[in-house]
Amino acid sequence: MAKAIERRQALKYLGYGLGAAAGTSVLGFPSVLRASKHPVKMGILTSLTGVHAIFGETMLRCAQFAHKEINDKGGIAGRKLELVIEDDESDPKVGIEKARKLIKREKVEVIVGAISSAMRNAVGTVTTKEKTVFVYPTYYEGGYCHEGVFVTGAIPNQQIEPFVPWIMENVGKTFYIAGSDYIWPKETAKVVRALVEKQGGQVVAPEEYFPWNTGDFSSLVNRVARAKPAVMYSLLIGSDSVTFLKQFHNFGLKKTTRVCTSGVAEKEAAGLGEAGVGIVSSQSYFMTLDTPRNKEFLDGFRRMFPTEKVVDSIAEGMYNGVHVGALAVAKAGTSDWNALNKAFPGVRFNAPQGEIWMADNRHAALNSIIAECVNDKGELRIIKNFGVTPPKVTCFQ
Amino acid sequence: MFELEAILTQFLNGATLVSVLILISMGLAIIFGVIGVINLAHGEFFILGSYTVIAADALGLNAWVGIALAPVVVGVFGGLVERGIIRFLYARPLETLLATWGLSIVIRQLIRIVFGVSYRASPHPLLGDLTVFGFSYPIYRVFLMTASLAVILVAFYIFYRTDFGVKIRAITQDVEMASALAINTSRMYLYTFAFGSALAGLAGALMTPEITVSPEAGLSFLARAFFVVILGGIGHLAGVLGGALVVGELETFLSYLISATTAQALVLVVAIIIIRYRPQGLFRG
Repeated sequence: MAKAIERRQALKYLGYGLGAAAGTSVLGFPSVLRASKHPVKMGILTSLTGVHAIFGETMLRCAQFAHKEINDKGGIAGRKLELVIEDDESDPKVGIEKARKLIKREKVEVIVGAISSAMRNAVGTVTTKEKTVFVYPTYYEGGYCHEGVFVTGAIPNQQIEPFVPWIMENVGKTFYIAGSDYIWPKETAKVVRALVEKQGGQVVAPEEYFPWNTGDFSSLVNRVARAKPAVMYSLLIGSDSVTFLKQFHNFGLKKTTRVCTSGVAEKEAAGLGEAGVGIVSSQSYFMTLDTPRNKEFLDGFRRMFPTEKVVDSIAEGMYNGVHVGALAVAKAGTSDWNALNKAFPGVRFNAPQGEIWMADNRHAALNSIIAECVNDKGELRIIKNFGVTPPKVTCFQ
Repeated sequence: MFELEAILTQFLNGATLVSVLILISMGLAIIFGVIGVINLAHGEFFILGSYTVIAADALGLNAWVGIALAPVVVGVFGGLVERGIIRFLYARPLETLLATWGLSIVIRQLIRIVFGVSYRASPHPLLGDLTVFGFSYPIYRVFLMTASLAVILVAFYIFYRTDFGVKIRAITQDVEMASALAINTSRMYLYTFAFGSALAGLAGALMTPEITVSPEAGLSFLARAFFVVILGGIGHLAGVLGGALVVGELETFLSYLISATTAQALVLVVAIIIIRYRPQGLFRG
């Protein structure tokens, strides 16, 4: 009797064993078999409401356009790309919440997005802890070196280092620097000052920083008028930038001082009207870039979104970020964080700004272009193109 | 930095800021003082005035036409809001707070749908300097000061020299008694709300060349108006003048000498001290 039971039990366990072996072989068959059924989920985290919605909306459209292009060409190594969209409400606290939601609930493989440095730092704490790749598409002050965070936005050696010497040669050697009161303007101001002084120029007064929603800049304008610099280097952003530059124009200071900035592009120029004329800006991309690739990009984008009028470098950075992210996932062949981290460096993409690539320091080799606003419609005409510049990073945050 | 021209310019900067604060706050003060309603959509009424100028420009009209239309458009809109929402909530301050906040969100999204989320611009109506004895100052800022003075005079005239004003003051003192004296209090509330809204719209239209016009822009003006009204005291028109004077002059004076962040913080500290010792504000209503 006992032997019969033992035999039955043995057969039962043999059955389990065979089942387990068969199951493991099916499940263990790497990503190839399983993955071809599962789409690549990419989280798009940007500001759809709040003060940065002006940038966030176009960023989303560019991400959706990239998504369409990728899927039209067959997806990512046979897998469909699926975007999961979340609104960070221009608030870093919400950004943290939504990043967690994207990672834990939606199980995205990559997050692309964030505009301000505050948002990037907030989201970065979540993605690094949860080991999810994060692609940041906005120009910033540089120095953010965290594993798993890749940047498709310009940094000072690309955006400022060619710009300041150009200004000193073509506009003047005396500078007045003012910006919004947070990390990007403060770190960028340090770079500007160092470049100015190295070339024998002078920053005529200590840098000034203004809290958000300063409505009246007349005191600053008064001080600039007394100092009479050749260059007003503005590091104010968003609506503060527009308010200041309008008041600067209204006081007639543009007659004696030229406004140069790395914080004004198509979106701000649209709000400036005639106050924008003559402003010189430095970005890795301008909509007026006259290349076949850019024309192809804009035509396709406008066909998909006819009401979108203006694409700035932040939106183009987002478009590039989605494509670069997709290329990295295809190259890695898996969603494993370590494999993805190794896959990003070397990824090349034919962006609207030109051919860009990811360097070993987790930043991208990007274009460096200077443009001038030429009319009251916010049109920026390119006056100097330095070409694609590799990123030089000194990690400090 | 302390030369005569710099000081004169800074003095005029202060005067302009005071005038601007009066323009921004007057509508809120009147509605709050007379009806007792805290209109959290006040900032949106303000920016609707700016958007009227933008719309007028988009239709090919002159900037001054836009400025003239703004109080009419926003005043009518305010009237509709009063009849549709505020009228049902007179004795319920918390509900009006909620209702007007909800209204502010709705207006912001409507603006975004109609005008888009991007910043908008329109031509400057009066660019140039006024030069007196070799000292020049933007003529539009002088115009803003004049406009503010005109608004104060008109408001004072209406409230203290007209029949309408007598009725308004009666309602402000005791609405039930006023109603018993055959004053159509409901109609007066409508006119007051419409008038306050019209003032907000006019302020927004006048300020268009000096501010960023975006759907979210109204919020910071609500904050500023609130600050001035609370500090100055509700219920008396002079309250707005007092609040604007203190905030405007102090902020301009300080921000010339020290960093903007510290200056704005100091203004807040001074306001807190004033409210601590005079909770009713500078001028009692």
